[in-house]
Amino acid sequence: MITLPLSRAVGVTALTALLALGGCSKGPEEASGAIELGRSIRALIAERRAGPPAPLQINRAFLDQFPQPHLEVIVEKSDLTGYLGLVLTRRDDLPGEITTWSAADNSALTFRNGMLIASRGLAGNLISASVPAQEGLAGPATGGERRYHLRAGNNQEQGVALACDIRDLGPQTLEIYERIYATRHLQEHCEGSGENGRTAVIVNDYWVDSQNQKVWKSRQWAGPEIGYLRIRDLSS
Amino acid sequence: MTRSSSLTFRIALISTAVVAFVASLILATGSVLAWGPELTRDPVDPAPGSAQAAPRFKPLPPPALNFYGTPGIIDTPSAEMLPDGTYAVSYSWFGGQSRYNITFQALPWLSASFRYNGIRNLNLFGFSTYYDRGFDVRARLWKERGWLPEVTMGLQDFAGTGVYAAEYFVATKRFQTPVLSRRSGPGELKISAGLGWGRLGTHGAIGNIGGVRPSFVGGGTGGELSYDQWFRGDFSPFGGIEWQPTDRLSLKAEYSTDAYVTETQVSDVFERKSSLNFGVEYQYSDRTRLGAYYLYGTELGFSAQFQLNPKQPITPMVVPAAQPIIPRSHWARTEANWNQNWPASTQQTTVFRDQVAEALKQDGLILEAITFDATEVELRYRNPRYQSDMQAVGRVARIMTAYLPASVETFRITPVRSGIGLSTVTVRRSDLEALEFSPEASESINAVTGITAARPLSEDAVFSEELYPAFSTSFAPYTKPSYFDPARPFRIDFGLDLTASYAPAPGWLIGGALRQRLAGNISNTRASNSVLPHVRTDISLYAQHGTTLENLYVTRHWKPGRDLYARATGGIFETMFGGVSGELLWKPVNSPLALGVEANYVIQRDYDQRFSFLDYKTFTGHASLYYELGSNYQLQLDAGRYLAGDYGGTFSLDRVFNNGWAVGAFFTLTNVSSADFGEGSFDKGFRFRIPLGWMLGKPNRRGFGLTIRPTQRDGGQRVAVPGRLYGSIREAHRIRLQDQRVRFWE
Repeated sequence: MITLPLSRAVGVTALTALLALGGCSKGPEEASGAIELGRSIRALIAERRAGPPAPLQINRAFLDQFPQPHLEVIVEKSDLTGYLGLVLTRRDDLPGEITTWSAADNSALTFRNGMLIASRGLAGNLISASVPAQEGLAGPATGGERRYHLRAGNNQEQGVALACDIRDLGPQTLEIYERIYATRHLQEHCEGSGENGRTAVIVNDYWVDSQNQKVWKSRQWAGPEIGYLRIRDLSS
Repeated sequence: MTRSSSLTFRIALISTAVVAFVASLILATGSVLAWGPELTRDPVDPAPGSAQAAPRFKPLPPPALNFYGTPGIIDTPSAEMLPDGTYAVSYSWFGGQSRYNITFQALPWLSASFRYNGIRNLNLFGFSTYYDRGFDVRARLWKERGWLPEVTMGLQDFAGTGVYAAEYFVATKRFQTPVLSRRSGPGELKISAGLGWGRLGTHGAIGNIGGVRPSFVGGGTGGELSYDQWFRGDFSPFGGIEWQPTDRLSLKAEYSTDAYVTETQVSDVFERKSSLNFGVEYQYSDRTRLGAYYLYGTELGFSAQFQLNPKQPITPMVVPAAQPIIPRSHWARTEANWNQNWPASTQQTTVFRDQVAEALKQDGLILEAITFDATEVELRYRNPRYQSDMQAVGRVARIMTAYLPASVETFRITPVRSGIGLSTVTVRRSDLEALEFSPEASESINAVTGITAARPLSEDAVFSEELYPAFSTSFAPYTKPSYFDPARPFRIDFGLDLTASYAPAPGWLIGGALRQRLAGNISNTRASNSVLPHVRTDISLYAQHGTTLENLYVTRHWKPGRDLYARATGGIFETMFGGVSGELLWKPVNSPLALGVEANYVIQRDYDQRFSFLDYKTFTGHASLYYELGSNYQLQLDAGRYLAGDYGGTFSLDRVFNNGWAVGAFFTLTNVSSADFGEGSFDKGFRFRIPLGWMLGKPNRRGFGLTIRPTQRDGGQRVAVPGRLYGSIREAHRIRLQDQRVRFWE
């Protein structure tokens, strides 16, 4: 008696899902929920069938074919690697050079002097951030307050305010696809109040080339949804 | 010590020993095994720089529910509240008694529940299985702080026939317990104790207020508040503990003061030998919890709890990144770039229009019209994709910066729905260029954005050529549920809908839907016993036919004046009614208040749902007041004449989250007496809507929703006319746009 209507409901749901897979619509009106659901399920099945993309075989000669600089970004949480091409270099009223990089899958990252200030096309986007940028200095220039503004699940802005200090961890030689760079390892250690009274800690690492003021490599926090990103500059 | 209490004591001792043994077994395996998806947890000494140490927005798994679907032990409540906004669905079963519960945490300190329950083999009031419905409400009186416990007052089943009627005050205190597994951190012990009246005062009473409380009598119409009984009669102390040694496991024990008089003494549903209940629960995921129990010394029970948090999407929303704004200083460096003569050339404006239209199409938006001026451009568009209208506005603004000549400084962005401009968002191009990467990008752009009433369409507007006439078709499945028939509480029909619409000009729409039922059992629903005109209760008569015309109508939307919106509709509106309908709405863009009137003359459709009608004709209409209370709450008051010819008013309160989730409740009081109304006494119910985008993580305006009435009767019913004004209009007005300003740059 309990199980009968339940099993029936499950059956009906399954059948509806099957029917939804066959639903279709044409014209400018919004498609119904069942059709949208069917489309998503079909896309998911196609994605599962396709499997993960084959990893790219990258070397310097391959990189040199591209006219525009690229970043290699590894999302630590999901261990996914993406390659983002530079689409815009600009300035605004605040100190620091802004660079926007975008990937073929319509995700984009924006940096100010090599520090992440925005993400787009990712989950829980970093909408904007205040960073300790100073003209002519790559990476964080000072410690002090840092703010992240993120979009949370209810389409609301959620801010994260942190107090940071900078540590210079000394010189370090980097190799990125056959290129050797002399860098200094700067670490930004930020603390703020977290949920349930605990202290939240973010650590951002930058490997900065002090000669031409460039961040060749970094590991930066991009929000609770995305987590940490490992970023390397592949430009020549 | 008496014989019976020493027996209770012995049972308690043995049960405790058994539970302790089982628990230690489960603990031993539980600390190694972790079956289910990763849980959100407070990490123990996370390494700085690890993802665990970083700020987290996800809340910890919500408190466990009891058999009544509210936070609690097993059959008794605790004082805990769920995270604000939580929508918890649960099912529990023991001794032939099943309870389906829905609890909504309406405010951080207030929750409301609806329950449908079945008691098998009660054999009373003319049913072998007794089904009933009830509402609960709980309010937190004070929060846990320092040594003070959290204290909550609850009214259980306070308005129905009162089969589960009880009132209580309960206090809960939480303690940290030692770390058993490094992975999940310290455990937690919750101790609850309370005083209960009604059901919770039927065993072990220690006192009495106001004499004898009338005992439960089933089969009445119910529906009236039983406030004369609240906190009356015997009261008893109850209590229990919940120990969560790890984040997945919890052990529960309680002392229940519910004697189950009706079930065990009046009837013979189960045997109650002990007041002690024990249980083990497993947190499978952040949203799902399963439990197994041993109740009243004789019965096994189980529960399944699903807690949805509207603020935590199942799949995080991902929207393809838009192109960054390229400031004009990068490309408009010569005098020629800034020339202002281009609007005079139709050739030029046509090129701009087509480029913009193509870019909008890539973003899932539709260009309606565009008005060119050398320094100001107004763009009118339709948004069939983004649930957040502010996000659509932001994407339109980006497209305008990418394609319009440098001389255009002011963007006027007008969302259009059903051919009417809903509002105009005015933003300066230099602000867009300057603020995209400012530290507080959303706040900054919001501060310099104007939201005003949409102006009438300019005479020199350039229309999109491919829009009208427009023809749309869709072929999709439908389901139609029906609830709470005593013979079978849940019935459903399903099949296919073929929907078509034709828009000959802006504001005009001809729509129709053919429905083919494939299977279902609504046709077996009991026949109506209503003494009112059968405007809604002839469900089974309408369900006898497989191929039906669901609707067929012509509608026109227009703006008769400033802040005024109008609709006229004629044809077949819905399964049961057709006719003519007119509506007028006053809704200033910046006001939380809206006023509307609607008048309908309707004829009841024949049961075969083709082109013929029955004899019943009536006038029905309402004056409505809508008010946005803030914090996503919306109030609606309607007064007027309902379908059965009854006069009265409806009160509705809905919480509509920014992301499209909605949960609300309503009731209607009319001049129909509760005897004439029948079961339930007056019309009431609740509704919810889950947006598809929240589930799938892709932008989408659709959602799945239901309106559930404990009883469907004929009093206080309204006709369902397609295209009602308020809902879609307010979405593009100031409050809703500004609430979602964070989406502007996405």
